[in-house]
Amino acid sequence: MKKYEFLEHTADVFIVGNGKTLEEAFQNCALGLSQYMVNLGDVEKKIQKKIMAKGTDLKSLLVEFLTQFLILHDSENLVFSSIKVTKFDDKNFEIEAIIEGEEFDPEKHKQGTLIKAITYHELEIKEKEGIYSVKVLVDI
Amino acid sequence: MEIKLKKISDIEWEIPKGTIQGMKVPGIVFASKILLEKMKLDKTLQQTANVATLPGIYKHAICLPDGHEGYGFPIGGVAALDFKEGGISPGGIGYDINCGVRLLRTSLTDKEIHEKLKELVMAIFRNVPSGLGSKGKVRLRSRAELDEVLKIGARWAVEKGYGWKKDLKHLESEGELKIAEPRYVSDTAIKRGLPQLGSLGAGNHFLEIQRVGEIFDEKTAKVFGIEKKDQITIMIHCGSRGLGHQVCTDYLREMEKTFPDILKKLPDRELIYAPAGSELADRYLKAMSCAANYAWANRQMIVHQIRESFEKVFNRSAEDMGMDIIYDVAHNIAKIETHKINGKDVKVYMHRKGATRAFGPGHPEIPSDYQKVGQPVLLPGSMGTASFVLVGSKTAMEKTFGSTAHGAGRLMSRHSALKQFRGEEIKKQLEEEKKMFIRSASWKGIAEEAPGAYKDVEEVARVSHKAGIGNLVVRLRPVGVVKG
Repeated sequence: MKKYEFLEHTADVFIVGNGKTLEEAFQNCALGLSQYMVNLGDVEKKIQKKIMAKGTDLKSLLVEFLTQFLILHDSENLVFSSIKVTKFDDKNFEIEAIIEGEEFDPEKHKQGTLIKAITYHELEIKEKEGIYSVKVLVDI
Repeated sequence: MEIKLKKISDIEWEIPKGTIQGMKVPGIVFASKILLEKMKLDKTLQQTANVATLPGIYKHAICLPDGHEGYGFPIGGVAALDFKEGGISPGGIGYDINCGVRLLRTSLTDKEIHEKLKELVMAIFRNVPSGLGSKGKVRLRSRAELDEVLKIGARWAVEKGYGWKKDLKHLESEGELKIAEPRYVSDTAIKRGLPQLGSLGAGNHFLEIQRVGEIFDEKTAKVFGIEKKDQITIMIHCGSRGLGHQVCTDYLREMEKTFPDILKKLPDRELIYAPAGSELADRYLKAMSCAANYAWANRQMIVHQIRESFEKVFNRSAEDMGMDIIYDVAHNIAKIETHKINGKDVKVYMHRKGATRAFGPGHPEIPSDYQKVGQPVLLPGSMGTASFVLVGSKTAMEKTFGSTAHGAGRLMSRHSALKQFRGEEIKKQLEEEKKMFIRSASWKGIAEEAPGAYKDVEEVARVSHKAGIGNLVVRLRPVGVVKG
């Protein structure tokens, strides 16, 4: 099982997160998102943040959760290399996570591609033989 | 699902009403055989048919020659929804609200800048923040300060000394949608927008130094200030940064929550709209207008930074180098417009997503000096290929609500581009073969935006011209590129 994968789309890219549980799949999808923007190996864990998101269903919870990373990136110039989901409530659709990273530095971090937004386009959440996968298309 | 098309001409195809359930009007696709084959590879045609199911839609859902799959609407999609019976859909505008293009002219020639090209590109790269984490040089500290930008757009930048008063006359809507109301923009969107004003961003955004290649229509070119071959122009392509993306995200979510019954009936979740007359339609229109104003202010500040770069490298004033704005177009936007439909003036929510306004001669929204010829349309190519200046027409007013294509349109996914191209090699190839100079914040960015990843912009421009919805004026060739 790969933690995350990137799949084809004409204009943009799908990010897939896999895990033995749904929360692990969410977590790995966020890790994939971070990797798409910057090489994770270059990012030190200097700053810790707690993030929270709330949705109306699982799909919107995923979109809201991933959007939090874009907000932190744009407003505080942060990139992340460690993501741990600390609360995952799939009845009330709430998630909390502790994330670690540092301020983006073009001299230090090999840059990938900026992600503008998380979309609902062909968004998938599924389970097959005990492996959960979430797939989301990001706007670039 | 395969969509059967009815041929109208070699470059116009109809998606008949009834192709999918709930279509209120037919779809119409402007494409040559080659472009159409590419549209069939993804969901472009299906999405065009989906748009035709929206309430209050007039005449047809339109797909332009550069159409490709988007979210909700296809990119290259146009729809006019009635102001009273229709609605407004964020999926018909896009996440990057007022992503757009601006073109500056100079009185310099290719020969005159040749020796200093590298220095010039590097100066612009240093002056205009670009790439991941790019922050503007102006630091706005509070919401109140940013609210001013959201209210008056490009005028804010000019009043602060970024540019000339006459610049405003040559911007679509003069760079200011007056209905904007900042109080409808969330704190989160403000937070994303505060550090980024005056920055290019990344992805497909770029700045390009170009030379005039061919002039197709000398009379019109002259009106736009393009006098001769090899004259240098500068093109800017960027949008409303994180602020616009968040406005779209916020309102998509709110519309889904507020109108679950509408959501259930839609063929695609991302076509969600706020019905005309609802309080949410009003708020979204005003918030979206704020993001549009942010983008115009952003491009205005970048113009200023480019003028400063030229001044420094050539030790001459920008005025002396004739660095006036030719025009600025939005290609992701909705506006309230009035169009003549079946002989009557009708007020509509005009959606243009990956589409450029192309108003014909005599339209009151066109600057006075362009009244006789029509509105300039700026069609950027992909990195390393040509770009075009077209001109809006009466035919566009009749066929496409005054709209035409917005660029080349992607052909290959970013992922395949990364597998197929290497940034270092693409740069070397373009620099050696085309004598260009490229500076990018990321190698990955260059590979993803490789010319081979896009449809042929020449074909898009040709179809636009042949359909008469945006006529050829000038072809521009790239000389130097700064990429985010």
